Order: sequence, then structure tokens, then C-alpha cells
Amino acid sequence: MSLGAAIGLGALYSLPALLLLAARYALLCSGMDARARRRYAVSALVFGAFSIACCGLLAAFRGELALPVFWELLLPALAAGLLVRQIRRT
Amino acid sequence: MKAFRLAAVAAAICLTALGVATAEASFFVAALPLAAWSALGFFRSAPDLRLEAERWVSDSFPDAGTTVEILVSVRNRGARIERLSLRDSLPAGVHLSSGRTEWAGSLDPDASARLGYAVSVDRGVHRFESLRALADEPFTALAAEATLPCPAKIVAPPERLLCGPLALESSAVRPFAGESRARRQGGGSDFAGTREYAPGDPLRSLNWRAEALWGESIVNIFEEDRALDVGIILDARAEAYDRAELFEAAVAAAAALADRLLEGGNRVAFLSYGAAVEWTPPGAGRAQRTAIRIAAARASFGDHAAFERFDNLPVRLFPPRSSVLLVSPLLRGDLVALLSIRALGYSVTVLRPDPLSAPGGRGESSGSDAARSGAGRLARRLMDLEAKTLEGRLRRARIEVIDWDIGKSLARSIEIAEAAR
Repeated sequence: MSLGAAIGLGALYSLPALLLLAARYALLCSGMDARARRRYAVSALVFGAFSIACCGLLAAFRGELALPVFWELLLPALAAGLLVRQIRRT
Repeated sequence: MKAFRLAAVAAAICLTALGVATAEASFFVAALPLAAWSALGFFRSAPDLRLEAERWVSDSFPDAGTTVEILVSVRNRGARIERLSLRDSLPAGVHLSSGRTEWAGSLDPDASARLGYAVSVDRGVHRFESLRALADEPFTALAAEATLPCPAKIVAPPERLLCGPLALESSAVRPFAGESRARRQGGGSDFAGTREYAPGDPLRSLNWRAEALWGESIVNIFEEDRALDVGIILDARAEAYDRAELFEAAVAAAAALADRLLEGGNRVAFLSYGAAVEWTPPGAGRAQRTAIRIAAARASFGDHAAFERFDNLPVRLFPPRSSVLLVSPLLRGDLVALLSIRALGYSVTVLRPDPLSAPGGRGESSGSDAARSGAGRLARRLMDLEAKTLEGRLRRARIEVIDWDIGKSLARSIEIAEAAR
């Protein structure tokens, strides 16, 4: 798979998340000052770029890595997050 | 903004389910960014809200129907808030005239957000309690909500009605001059007659011309109106009013009469008799005027088994033999109670907001077929006759009744009643 195709597929897979962030921006931008808008835009761009890169990488491996990543990386990260949150609360 | 996080989680779950169902890895890949974004929230904490709110009201004692400006200032005592939305809620009876009760924006540490708007108020006591603040972390969609107390109270007495002089009478008067029909000899400047000089009469009252004419020492006698003790009773029984408009008119009339009587130098007490008995003790002057206007603002009509009739009217609260002014549309069963009050030595006057006169009243539903029909006309005629009979019986007991069409001027109705005396 060529680099362009991988990036294209990565963008396609990231599209739901990117649309969600764009919708949030459209909804919130009127109630934020320039500094907050800039900060949001930068965060969204970084997240979008990272997401496209990761999804592109997974697509390059024909999705074979997707399931292991999902189960072995994201779920432990979620569990860790929940644990940290619970510890903070107590 | 929990909705976004929920949407992201739901979409991620749906895509994962599709991936499991179709054994297609692409769905898992598409679910990953959404799941990752949702998971970001677990590693961040919601914005810490340390806000102080303060409310400023341009006039806390306005007349009903006037416009009041309200300014709410919210100061941020904590860290910067990327997006803050504020929402103020208006109590019942307060209507937004201009401006907005919502605000959204970013707030730096020690900076203030201002929320300004104008409202028009109905009669009553209106309490503003708190402001709702919602801080949103734009990227992670983490939100924190707080209720900021910023109390304020607006007391809106009824609108001021023009009211002409109402001369009441009473067998007991106060030792001061005032506006009434109770005249007493003594001070004052109104000439009342002459009589023979008696030791102790002031020399300045000697009538030298009469002495020269009749050869006796004659003194002039002067008289003046004396101040009275007046008790105003506002009938607040729900049964007596078929619509709120009539009660509002009665409250406005009671307040206007109290104003006028206080202006005339009289001592006035106020009693609201309905779901509860609200008593303002007798007093005179500006402080009493304010106290009565506050009582009029608080008056509300309602039902209570003990106060369905005037039998439990605590008329003994009023000074003995004073003048009692009742503002009431009157019910059929009120006759006996009013006669009892009269028998106790009180001078009673009734101001009767006429329920038949205004559109939408008991006898007439404006624009309705019933009002135009023969049955409607007959009902109106019967009610009119019943009112006239009650009025006649009250007048025979020397209880004066002033009928007031609430669609017309109160001053004019009083003027007509005074002329008919």
C-alpha cells in the first residue's frame, strides 16, 4: 500500500472523530475568546494528525493490528484512567 | 457537554459491534479514534469552579409594571475557564423587557463577567436566588456545573391609582388636625360661629365689632377637621373574586386609599383577610405608608376554612369607635358580619370593586354568546338586583357603599359618592 493510500484510509477512519471535534468547535466557538479558540484548534489538529497517522498505520497492516491495539492498548489505558480517576476522588 | 462524550462512546461501541459482526477490521480502526478521544476525559479533571456572584438591582421597591434594571457580576477566583456559560432564572411575575439572562465566554483569573438585563415586574414580592454556571473544557468535553447564590429581593407594590379626598367620619377623633368629616371646635381657621366670652378664652378670639354692637364680650369660635383612626381591610378571600384582575384592582385601590388617608394626617392600619390574616398596626407618616405598600405588595388571595366569612374578622385590632374601610366585592353572607362591626361602634365604609362592571366579570363574558343571549342578560340582571338589595340593606344600617367600576377612575367614583352624601 502506498503512503498516500495509507494516509487517505487513515483520514477516512478518523473521519467520525474529526467530524465530532469540528461540530464541537462550531457549537462552542461563539462562546470562547481567541485564545481559547486557538488552544482548541491546536489540540484538535494534534489529535487529528495523530489519529490519521495511527489509523493510516493500522490500515497499512490491513487492519490486522487493529484488534490487538483495541484490546491490548486502549482497554488497559481506559482501565488505568478509571483507576487514576478513582484514586484522585478518594 | 456530556452529549458529545456519550455520542463518541456510542459510536465507538456501534463500530466495534459492527466489526465483531462482520469480522471486518476496518470498523475497529474507525472505532479507535472515537474511543481514544472519549478516554482522554479520564486523565483530565473537570474545570475547578471558584466563582463569586453579586447581583445589583436598580430599584428594589418599584411600582408594579415599571422597569427595573438588573446587573449580575461574576468574578473568577480560580484558574482560567476556557468556556463558561451563565444562566439566570427569573422568578414568577418578573418578565424580561430587554437584554439577555444568559452569557457565554472565556474568563481569566480575577476577571468578571457581567450579565445585564431589564425586567418589568408584577405586583408582589419577587426573590432572585441563584445563577447557574457551567464551565466547559472545550477539547475534552469535561464540564463542571455550579449554582452561585446571589440573592436579591424586589418588592413591587401595586400601581398608584389617582384617588381623590375621601372624608370619613368617626365618633372618636385624634387630637390632631387631619382630613376627615369629623369637625371639632378649637384650633383651626374655619369660622364656626360666636358665643359669649368665658374666663380662659384667649383675648385674640374676642370679636370687638360684635362687642361694640351688642355691648357684651363675644368671642369667635373656630373649628377644624380632626385626624381619625382608620382601619383598611382588604378582602383577600378567593371566593370573593372571580378573576385575578379584580383582586389586583382591589389591592391597588386599598393602597391608594391608604396613601390618601395618610396624606390627610390620619392614622391608618391595614389588614389583609384571606388565606391568612396579615396585619399592619396603626401608624402615620411616611414610614407607615411604606409599611402599607409592602403589605399591599405581599397580599395574595386564597382560601382558608376559618376565613371564608367575615365572622372571624379581628376587628378588635382597630382602635374602638374608629373608622373601618372595607375594600371588597362583597359576598351574600357578609351582611351580618358587617352589621356586627357597625354594632360594635365602628363607622364602616365599603369600597366595592364592581364584579359586574368589567369585561370578563361574573355577569358578562366579553364576546361570549352567553352574555349576548337572553339567559346571560337575565343572570346579569339578577346579580345586579342582588347587589342592589345588599347595598340597600347596608345603607339602612348607615354603612356607606362606594361602587367602583374598575375600568374607570377610582377618584371619579369617590367624587360621585361624596357628592351623593
